[in-house]
Amino acid sequence: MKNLFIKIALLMSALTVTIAAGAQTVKGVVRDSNGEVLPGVSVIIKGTTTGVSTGMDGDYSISVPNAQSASLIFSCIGMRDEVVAVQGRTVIDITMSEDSNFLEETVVIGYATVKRRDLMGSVSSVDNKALTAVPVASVSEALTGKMAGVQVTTTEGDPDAEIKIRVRGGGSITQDSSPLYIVDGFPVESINDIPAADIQSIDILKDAFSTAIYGSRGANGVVLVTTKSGVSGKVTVSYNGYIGFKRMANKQAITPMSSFEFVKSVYELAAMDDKIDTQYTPYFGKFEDIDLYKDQPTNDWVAQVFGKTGVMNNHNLSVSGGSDKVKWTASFSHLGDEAIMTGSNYKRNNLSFKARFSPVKKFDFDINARYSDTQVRGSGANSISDAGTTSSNGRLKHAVQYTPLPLSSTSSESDLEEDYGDNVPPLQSISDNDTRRIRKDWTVNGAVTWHIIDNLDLKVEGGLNDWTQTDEHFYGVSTYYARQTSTVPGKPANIHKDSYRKKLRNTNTLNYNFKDIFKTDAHRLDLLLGQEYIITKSNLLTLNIDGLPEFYTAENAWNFFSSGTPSNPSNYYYADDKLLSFFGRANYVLNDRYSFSTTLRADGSSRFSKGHQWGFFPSFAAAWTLSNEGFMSSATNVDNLKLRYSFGTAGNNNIPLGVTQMAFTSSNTSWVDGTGTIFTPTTVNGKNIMPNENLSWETTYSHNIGLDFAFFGSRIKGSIEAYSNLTDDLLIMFPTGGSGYDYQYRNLGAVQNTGAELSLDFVIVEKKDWGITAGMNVSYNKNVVKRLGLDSITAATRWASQEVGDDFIVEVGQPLGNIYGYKCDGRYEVSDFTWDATNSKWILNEGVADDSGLVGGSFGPGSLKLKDINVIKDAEGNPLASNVGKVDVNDKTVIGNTQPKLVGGFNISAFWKGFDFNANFNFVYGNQIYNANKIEFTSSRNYYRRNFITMMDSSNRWTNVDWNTGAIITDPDQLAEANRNTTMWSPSMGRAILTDWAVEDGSFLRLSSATIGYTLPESLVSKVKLSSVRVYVTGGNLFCLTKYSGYDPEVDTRRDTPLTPGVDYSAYPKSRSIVAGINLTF
Amino acid sequence: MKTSRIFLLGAALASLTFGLNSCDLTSETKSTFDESVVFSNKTLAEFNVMSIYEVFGHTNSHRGRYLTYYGHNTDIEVYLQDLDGKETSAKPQISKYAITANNTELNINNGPYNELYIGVERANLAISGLKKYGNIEGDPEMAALYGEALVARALLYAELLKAYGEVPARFGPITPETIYVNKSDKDVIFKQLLSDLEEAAPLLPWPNGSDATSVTTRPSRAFALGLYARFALVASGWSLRPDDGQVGTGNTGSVRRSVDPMFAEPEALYRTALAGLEDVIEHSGCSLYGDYEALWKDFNNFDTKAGKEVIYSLPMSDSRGRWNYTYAIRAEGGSATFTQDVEKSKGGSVGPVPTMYWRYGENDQRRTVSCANFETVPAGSFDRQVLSGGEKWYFGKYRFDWMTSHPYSGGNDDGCKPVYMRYSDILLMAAEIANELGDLAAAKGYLKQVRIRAYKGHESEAESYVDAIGSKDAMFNAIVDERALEFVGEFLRKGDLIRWNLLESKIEETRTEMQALAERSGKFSDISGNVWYKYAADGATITDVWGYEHGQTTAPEGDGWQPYLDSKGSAPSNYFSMSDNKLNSFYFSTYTPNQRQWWPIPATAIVDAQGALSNDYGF
Repeated sequence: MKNLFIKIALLMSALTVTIAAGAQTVKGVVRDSNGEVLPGVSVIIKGTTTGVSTGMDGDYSISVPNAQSASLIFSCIGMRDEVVAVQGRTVIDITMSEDSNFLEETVVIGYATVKRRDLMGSVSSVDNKALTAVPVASVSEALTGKMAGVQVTTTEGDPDAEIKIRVRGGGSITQDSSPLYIVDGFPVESINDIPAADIQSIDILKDAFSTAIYGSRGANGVVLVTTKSGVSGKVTVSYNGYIGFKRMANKQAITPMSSFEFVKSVYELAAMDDKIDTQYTPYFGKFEDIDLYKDQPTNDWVAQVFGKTGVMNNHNLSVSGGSDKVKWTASFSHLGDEAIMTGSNYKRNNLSFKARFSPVKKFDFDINARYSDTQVRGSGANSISDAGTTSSNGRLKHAVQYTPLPLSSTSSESDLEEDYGDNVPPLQSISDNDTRRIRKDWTVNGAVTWHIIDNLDLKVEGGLNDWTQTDEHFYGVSTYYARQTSTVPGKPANIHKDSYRKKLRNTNTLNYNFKDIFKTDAHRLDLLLGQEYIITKSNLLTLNIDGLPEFYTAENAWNFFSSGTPSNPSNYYYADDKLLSFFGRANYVLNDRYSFSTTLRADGSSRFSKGHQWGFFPSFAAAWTLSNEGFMSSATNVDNLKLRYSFGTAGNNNIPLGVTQMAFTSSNTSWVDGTGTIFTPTTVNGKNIMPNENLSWETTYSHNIGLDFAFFGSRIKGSIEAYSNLTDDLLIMFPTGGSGYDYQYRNLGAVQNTGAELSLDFVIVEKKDWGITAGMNVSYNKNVVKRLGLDSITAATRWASQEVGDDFIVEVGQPLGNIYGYKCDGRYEVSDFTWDATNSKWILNEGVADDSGLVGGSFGPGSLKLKDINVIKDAEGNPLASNVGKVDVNDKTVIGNTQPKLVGGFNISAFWKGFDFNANFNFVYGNQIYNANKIEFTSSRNYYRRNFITMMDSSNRWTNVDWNTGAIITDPDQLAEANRNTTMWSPSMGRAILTDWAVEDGSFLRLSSATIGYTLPESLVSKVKLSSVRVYVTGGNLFCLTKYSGYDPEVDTRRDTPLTPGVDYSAYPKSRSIVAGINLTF
Repeated sequence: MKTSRIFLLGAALASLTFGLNSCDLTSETKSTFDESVVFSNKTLAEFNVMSIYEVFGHTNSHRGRYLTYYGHNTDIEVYLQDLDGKETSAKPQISKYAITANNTELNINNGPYNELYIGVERANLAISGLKKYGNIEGDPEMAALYGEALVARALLYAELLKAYGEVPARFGPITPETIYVNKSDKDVIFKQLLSDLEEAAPLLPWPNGSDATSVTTRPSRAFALGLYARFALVASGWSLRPDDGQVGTGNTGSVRRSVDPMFAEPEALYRTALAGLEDVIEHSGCSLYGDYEALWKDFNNFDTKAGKEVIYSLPMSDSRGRWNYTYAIRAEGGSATFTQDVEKSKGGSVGPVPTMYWRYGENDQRRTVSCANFETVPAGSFDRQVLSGGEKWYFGKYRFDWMTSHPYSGGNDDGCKPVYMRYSDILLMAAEIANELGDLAAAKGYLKQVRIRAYKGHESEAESYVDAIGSKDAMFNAIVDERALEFVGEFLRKGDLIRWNLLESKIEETRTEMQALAERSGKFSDISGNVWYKYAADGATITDVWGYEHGQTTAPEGDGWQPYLDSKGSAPSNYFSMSDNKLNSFYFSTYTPNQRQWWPIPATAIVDAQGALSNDYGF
C-alpha cells in the first residue's frame, strides 16, 4: 500500500524546468536507499522558486546562479527532504531515505499546521490513505474505530443515516454534543456530503488547549477536514471507481412467528379475554379447525421490505496539475446507492476545484470551490422525527407485527389515538411514508496571503457557503397525519420543507516566525494573531398540502401540489447568527526540548443578549521532548519521547436562536374557531420557551497529559493520554412546566468526563517485497453529572407513545445515558395465585408483589412479574398503604447505561509484491442498549392480531390454553404442568413496559472492512499509457461479534433529544456488502 | 474580567489594524415582532388574544384530557368504560375519586395543568401589553380586546380552579421572581377574577354587538356577567379546602366555606351578580330555544350564532376537539354516518346514570333527548339502532347522526364546540341567587321559564309544578333537581354538587336508586324486566320501547314489537339488572368523593416548581 502510494506520487509529480541562463549547471542522479533510481523528485534552489524534476532515470540538471553559496532541496512525497549545499560542485548524486518518520507529517491545528513533532495538544489524525483504502459512502463512516477518543456511531443502516461523532464523551446534557466541523477553514453542519477521495486529511482536536483556538465552539472537540490540493507537475488524471452489492445483515436475529403460531397466539389472547367470538372466529373460523393453519405459508414481510439487494456505484475522477506558480486540482464524484429497503435510494454528485496561484513572490492566492448535490429517496430516509409521525413509520415495525397470512380485516378495539396507523400492510406503509430529500451545498473560499516581510505573513480569507435542502414527506391514507392531523382528514397529504442557510466568513490572520530575530536554532518562537467574523442567515419554509386525491402516489403529490389544499404555510426567518472573534497563539521551543504554547480567544456571539455576549478562552500547554535530551543520546532506539501537558478552556453557545429575548411570532393554527393565525411568544420545536436574558457561555475546563513515543526507527510508535474535562455553566434546556412555559435555557450544572486513550502503530515486517503493519487504539471515558440545578431530568423516548413514560434519567452523581425502568422478576407462576372458582378468577397470594396495575392484560399466572423495590412512606415514615405490595411508578430505577466503557479499533495492513491487504476492526465495550423492538414484538398491548417474534412461540411462552380442547386451563396443577418447559411470560399486556430484560449488553467487535487489492506491474501498465492500475475487492461489515439479540448493536434511533441515546426501535437494518473497484492513474 | 478587558482592547486594536468591517453583534429575528408592535395593532393584538384559546386545542390539554375526564362521576353522569378496572388503572382512577399525582393520563408535561398556564401567561402578556400599548381609553375595539383577554384569563382560571381546587395566582407576565410560586388561597384568585370581570363586562359588546361577539366562541358581555355569577356562587359555596392560611402546606383540609367576609356573607356579592344576570336577561338578546331537541341538533351542527341560547362555547375549530368522539351515543366501527371507514367504535365513554331516565317527568322533553339507551351498529349503507342494555345509557344530546352539516370524519377530532354556558344557566343561577336573597317569587319566575320550555306541549304541568314550591328550601331543592335535568352531560354537576356540599349524599341517593332499579324494587317495582322495541319502516330507527315505563309489566300489544335479546339470543327477564361493579362504579373505596374533590397538581409540575409548589389533601 505504502509503496504503491509512493509510486503513484512519483508519477504524479513531474517536470517543470526553468533554467536561469548564464549560470553553473549542476547534474546528478537521485536514488533510493535500495539503489533504485527515483524519477519525479523535485530539485529546488533554496530560497527561490527555481527548480526541476528528475527524469525517468532519476537524473536531473539544474542551473544554479550562485554555486558557491546555494543549496539544493530535494523533495519527494514519501521521502525525507534532503538539503545539500552545492559548494561549487557540478555533480551531486543523492540517496534519499524513505520518510518513515511520521514526526515530519503535518498536522492541522486550526489556522495553521505544525509538524507532529511540535504538537502539544491532543490531536488525532487520519490521512487520505486510510480514508480511501476502504470504499465508503461518507467520510465519517470511514473514521469509525480509527482514532482514540473519537467514537463514531452510525445510528442506523439507511444511506443518509446520521453519523454521531463524539469526542471524549459528551459534555452537554440537553444540547447536542456534536463537535465543530471545519472544512478548509469553514464551519459546516456535517461532513457527510464530502467524498472521501477528495479529502487530504482529517484532524480531530480533542483537548481544550487545541480547541481553544476555536473558542466558543470547541467544547465538544473540533473536526478539521482538509481537502486535497494540487501539486506542481504534469497534469495527472486519476479515476477511482467501484461497484458493490449489499444485503441486509443478520436478518435471522428478528424472526416473526409462523402463520400457525400467529393464529394460536390470536386465539389465546382472545380466549383469555373471553373474546373468541369477536376477535378470533370472524377471522380464523372455529377452534376445531386451527390445525388447518399448520400448512399455511408464512409471509416474510421483513424480506419484502428489506430484502432488496442494494447496488452501489461510485465514480471519482480527478485532474490535477500545475507549475511552481499555479497548482490546481479538480474532481468530480458520483455515488449511487440503491439501498436494501424497497423504494429507497441515495444519489450524490460532487464537484470540487482548488487552486493556489503565486504570481509574484509576495503573494499567494487560493481559491477553493465545492458543490454537492444529494438526493435521498424512500420511506427509509424518514429517520429524523418530524411532527405528526414517529420515526418508525414505514419501517421494521409493520414488517414484523403485520399478519403473516391474509386476513379479511384487521380491526382493533383500542381507543388509543396514537395507535392509528398500526398494523398497516408493510408495503403500503412504505409507500404511504415516501420521502424525498434534495440537498445542495455550495462553498467558495478565497484567500490572499501576503508575505509582508520575511517570516511575516498576513492571510485574508473570505468564504461563502450556501446550503439548501428540500424535504418532501408524503403521507398516504394509512398514516396518522393523513387520518388525524391533516385539515382534510382521510386523504393523502404532503409536507414540504425548504431549509435555506447562508454563511459568510471572513478570517484574517497574521503569522510571524521570530527565527530572523533569534538567529539561532535554540529558540524558536511563532506568533499568530487573528480575527474572524462569521454570519449565518437561515430560514425555513414549510407548507402542508392536505386533501390530495386518494389515488395519488408520492410522486404525484410532489408534482401536483395544486391538487390539494395548502395548510400551515410558514416561512420563518431566524435571527442572524453572528460570531465575532479575536484570537492569538504563541509557540515557543527551547533547544528542541522544552516547548510552551498559549492560545487565547475571545468570542462574541449574537445568540446571547448584550452584556453576556463575550466569552474569553485561554489555554496553555507545555511539552518536554525527552528524546532530544543529551542523556538520551545513547538510547538510539528511541526516536521520540515527548511528555506534554495542557490546560485549556473552550466554550459552547449551543442554544437555539432567539431564546434570550421576549418576542412574538406568527403561527398557523387549525385548532381555534375564528382564526387561522395566532401570535405567541416564540417557540422552539413547538415548545414554549421562557426567555432568559442572562444566558451566557458554557465553558469546558480541560486537563490533558500525554506521552508520545516512537521506538526502533519508528517501527513502534504511539501515544498515551489521560484527560479530565469539566464542563461548567452547562446550557440546559430546563423544564419549567406549570409556569406558563415548557422550558427555559439556563446556565446550570456541570458534567465531568475523565478518560484515557492509547494508540499504537507497529511496523511488523518491512521488506522490499512484503510488509505488515498494524495499528490499534482504545479509549476509556467516564462521565458523571456533577451538578444539575435540580434532582433529575427525565426524558421519554415515546416509541410507544405515552405507554412507557419517562425512560431515561439524568441525576447528579450519575453518568448520562441512564436507562430508567422496572426490574424484571420473570413471570408469575401458578404458585403465586389461588384460583377462586366462584368468581372464576385468579387471586394473587398474600405477600406477592402486585404489578397488575402496570402490566394489565389478562393478569394471572404467566403475567410479566416486576420487582417491588421501593416502598413509599408517608410524612410520619409509615409505609403508604396504597403502595405496599404494589409495583407502581415508584419502583422504577436505573436499569442500564448506554455509554460504553471502552471504544476503539485496530487494523492490519500487508502487502506482497503487487498485492495488498487491509482489515479494519472496531469495537465497543461495556455499554447497554435499550432494545425497544424486543418489547414491542413480545407484548400484546391490548391488541389481538399483532404478530410476535419466535421468542413468543407457544413452545417458549406461558400458555393458558389447553391446545387439545381450546379451553382456558383453570386447574392449577394442569396449568403448571402445561408450562413446565416454557420460560417466557405471557404476551398479554395492557401496555409496553420497559424492564431490564430489554436492556442488553451492546458490546461488539466488528470487522468493518477487509480489502484485497492488486496493483498491476508497471511494465504492463505503461504499455497502455497508464501510470498505475490497481484493482481491489472489499467486504464491508463482514462480521459483528456481539451478544446483542437485535440486528445490530451500533444503533441509536431516538435522536430528538440527546437525553435518549442508544435505543433500538424499528431501526433501518444495517447491511453486509461486497465491493469491487479500480484505481487508475493516467 | 480585567484580563479579558485588556485582551478585548488589544483585540479591538488588532481589528483596527486589520482595517476590519462590522463588529455588530445585535441580531433580531426577522420573523418576530416585539410587544409594542403586537399590542398597538388591532389585528396583531387580536391574533394574540386568540392564542389564549389555542391552548384548549393542544393535544393533551382540554382537547385530549381535560374535557374527556373532567366532571364525572356525579349523581347523574358516570364513566362507562373499564367497569372492572383496578384502582391502579389510570383512567378509572380519575373518574372514581382515586387519582394520584402520578396518574399517567394527566401527569404529563403537556397535560392540562401546564397547558392552561401557558394560556394564562399568554393572557397575562395580552393584558399587560394592551394596557401599555393598546390605547384602551381611546379605542373601544382595543378596549373590547382587553376585556376579552380578561375574560379569557378568568375562563382559564375557572377551569384550573374547578379541577385542582387551589392553584398558583399568576396575574402578570412571568418575571424571574414569579417563576416558582406556591398555590394561593382560592379567595385571592376569585377576588381578582371577580374584579377583572367587573372591569371587562362594560368593555365587551353584547352578543352580536360586534363581529367578534356574533359567535358564541368569543366572549360577550353576557358571558362576562354570567361567569361573574358562576364565580360568585362557587366562591361563596362549599368545597374541600385547606385550613385557613394553610394552602400549599400539605394540609388535609376539610369541606367548608370561605371565612372571608366577602364570601362568607355574600349578600352584596349576590346582589351584584344578580344585577348582572338581570342585565343579561334584559339586554343580551339571548333567549331559550322553544324546543330542547332543536338546541342539540344545532349543537351537533356547530351552530355558533350568538344571541340564541348558547352564551359561550369553547372555541374548538371545526377539526379539533374530542367531544362527540368521547360523549356521543356510541357508534360501532364501520358506521355509515362516518365519512371515513373507521374500524374503531366511537363515543359512549361516559353516560347518564341508568336511573336518570326516571328522574324526568313523562312529559319532559329533555328525557329522551338526554337519555339514550341505544347505540348504533353498521348495517351496510345505514346504521341500525340497537338497545345497549340496562347498564349502559348514553347522552342523546350528542349524536353522530345529527352531525349533518359537519359529518364525523372518523378522526379522533370531531370539531364540536363544547357548550360552556347557556341562557338556561343564566336563568337558573338567577333563580338560585334570588332565592338565596329571599325573593322566592322572582326565583319561581326564572325557574318557570326553564321548566316550561322543557315541558313543550304540556306547559301547564310545568307551571303548576313551579307554583307549588312553597319555601326557600323547597326552591333550593327544586333548583338542585332542575340543574341535573337541564344540564346532564354538560358536566356542570360536579361543581354544583361540591358548592352545595351534596357530592356524597347525592351520589349515595343515586346508588340506592340504581340498586332499586336493578332489583326492580321500591319505586321501580312496577317496571318489567323485559324490554320490547319497534323499528320504523326503515328498519334503522327504534321508534318505541316497551318496558321502561312504570306499569309496563306485560308484553305490549300491537304489531312490530320484538323482544330484546342478549348476546346468547335469549330474552332476559332482568334487563335492568346491574353487576356489583356497575353499582359500585361511582368511586373506589379508598377515598370518599369529598376527600378527592380535586385532581392533584401533577407530579411533573410539582417537580418542575423546584420545591415551591405543594399539593394538599394528602396527594
